[in-house]
Amino acid sequence: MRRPWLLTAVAWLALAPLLPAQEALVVIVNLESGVTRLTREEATNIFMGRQKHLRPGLVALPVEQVAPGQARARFYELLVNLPLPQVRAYWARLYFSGQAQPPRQTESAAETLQVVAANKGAIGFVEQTQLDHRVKAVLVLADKGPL
Amino acid sequence: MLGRIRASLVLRTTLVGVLMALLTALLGLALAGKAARRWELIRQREGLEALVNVVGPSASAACFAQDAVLAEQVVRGLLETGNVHGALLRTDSRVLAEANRPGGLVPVAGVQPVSRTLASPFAPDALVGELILVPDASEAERQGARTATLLRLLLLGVVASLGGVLAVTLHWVIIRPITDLSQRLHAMEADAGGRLAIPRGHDGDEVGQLVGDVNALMDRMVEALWREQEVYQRLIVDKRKVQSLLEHAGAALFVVRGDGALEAWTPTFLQLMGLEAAPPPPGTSFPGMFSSQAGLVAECLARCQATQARATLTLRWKPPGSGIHRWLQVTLDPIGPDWCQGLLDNVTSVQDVAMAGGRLSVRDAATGALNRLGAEHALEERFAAGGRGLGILLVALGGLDAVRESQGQNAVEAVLKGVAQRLAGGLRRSDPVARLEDNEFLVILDLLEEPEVGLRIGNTLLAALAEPFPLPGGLDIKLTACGGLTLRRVGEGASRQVLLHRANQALVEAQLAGGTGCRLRN
Repeated sequence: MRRPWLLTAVAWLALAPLLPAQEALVVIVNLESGVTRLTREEATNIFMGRQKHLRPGLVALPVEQVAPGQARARFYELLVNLPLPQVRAYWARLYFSGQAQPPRQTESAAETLQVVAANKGAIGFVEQTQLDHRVKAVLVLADKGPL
Repeated sequence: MLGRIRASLVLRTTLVGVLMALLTALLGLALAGKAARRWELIRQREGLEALVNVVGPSASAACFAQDAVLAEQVVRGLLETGNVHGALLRTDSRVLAEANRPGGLVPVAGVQPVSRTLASPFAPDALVGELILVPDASEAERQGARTATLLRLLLLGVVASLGGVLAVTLHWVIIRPITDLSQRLHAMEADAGGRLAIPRGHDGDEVGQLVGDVNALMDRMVEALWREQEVYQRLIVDKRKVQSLLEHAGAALFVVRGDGALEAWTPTFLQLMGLEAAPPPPGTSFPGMFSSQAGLVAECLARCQATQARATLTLRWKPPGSGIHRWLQVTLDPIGPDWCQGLLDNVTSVQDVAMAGGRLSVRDAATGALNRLGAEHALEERFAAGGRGLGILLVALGGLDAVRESQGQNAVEAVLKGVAQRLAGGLRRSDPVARLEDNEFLVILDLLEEPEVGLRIGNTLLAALAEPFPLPGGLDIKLTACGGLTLRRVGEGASRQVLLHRANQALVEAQLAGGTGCRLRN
């Protein structure tokens, strides 16, 4: 046991591919929104307040879940490659102008699904495993980029 | 005032120092304004760059979200700072916010707007807008003026301090020791052996060296002074001795200028000249004192001056107011180019004896011909005989110096004797031959009236002289000879001096013409 750190590193590298990957996140919209697919840029513009409409004539209602867990942080990490504090700082700058509103906040994935299903212009995100038939996934965000 | 400045090292140095400090200060003041303004512009631009960095995220967010209100807040916030005259925030499609200070933009040279493109907060490669800031030039000017004032005050303080320190240092280290030295030099009695003391602290520097040099110079000067005094005392004693000697020796000494003016004389001179009762004023013509024989004396003086060698003349002269003739011998020695010292000697008794004794005093010992005195007597006799025709021929020989150098004086005398014989052999017994100078003979052609006859006689004599002169030992000597002839016609009243002068002029012409023929001048 002259070099324990070396054995540890080798073992980690050998076993890493066998570890379970984190769940992908999906951006969801209402079934009747008329939107079938979004690009990352479009999703960014909508969630960060730049784009006010989901499509012409349909006002966008972004929703983000703030429930305990890493979903919200992972979402912004995957979407705009920024940590959550910087996203908050961004919204803080816009908030006081009153011209832009941050996404509406929900307490759980179920509430997110419900809000999206109930509002034609709503748009939110959940883990891929939480997706159900009431909503439509338009963009997948995973660690290796959108699927 | 100018005189005081020139006379005072302290004033001059201080004035130069003050002037230099003022010039430096003025130059610094002129440059400080420009430098401060330039510096302030750079500083303002750097400030604006920093400001853009600060408001960049907000401006970027406003552009991304196209939030005109936030953009307005950003622009207004920028105007709150002192250095921004105007600000503009725009996306690629529209101007979100724009604001300017009242009064409009005053363009100032070197002031350019600061522009910054804004990237998306979420994609650094995507540009979402641009922020343009116009610097406030008047603020930069104000800041520059304030900085320039500060710089100028600082510069003035530094220059004044440096100038003061320099002036004090110069005064203490250089000027004061030199001034002290100057005052001590003024007060010092050098001939009493006084010496300068080296100022304290200057033993090894230039001031100490200067004092050492001055002391050494002083020593040499004192030594020279003493030596001069000794020489002067000796000179006075010698002068008294000479004066006493002259006064008691009875020598008739005098000093005469080259133009004949009499400058100084001894009492014996006056006595001998019969002028004791009425001494001549300085500047009186010395030759003129001899009336009828003035020409001979002037010629003797001119000879002394020209040859820079002793010239002697013996003349028979009757002093004014006296009925008795005297024989005086005048000896002139040159003193430089313009003066002659003369000795007048009464040789009456010697001359009378010589005249009575025969020919010794009127004959040239080397050649047997008449000497100058004999020639004068001969001329005097012929002039005393009346205004009959008379010819005077002067003969000059060439080549005697070469004979003297190569064969010696005896050979010269032998040749001269031969010359005198050949001249006498070509003339009547009544025509005397005289040797006036070393190489000059005079022939008196008695009763001559025709110039052609005189020229023929002269050329015949010259031809005889052109023949070689045999010397003992078989050596033949050849000389060159030329002649100058003049005539006194019957009834003509020309004096002896005039005739001699004319003959001399004719001789000079013959010499200039080649030195071999005979020239006539009437």
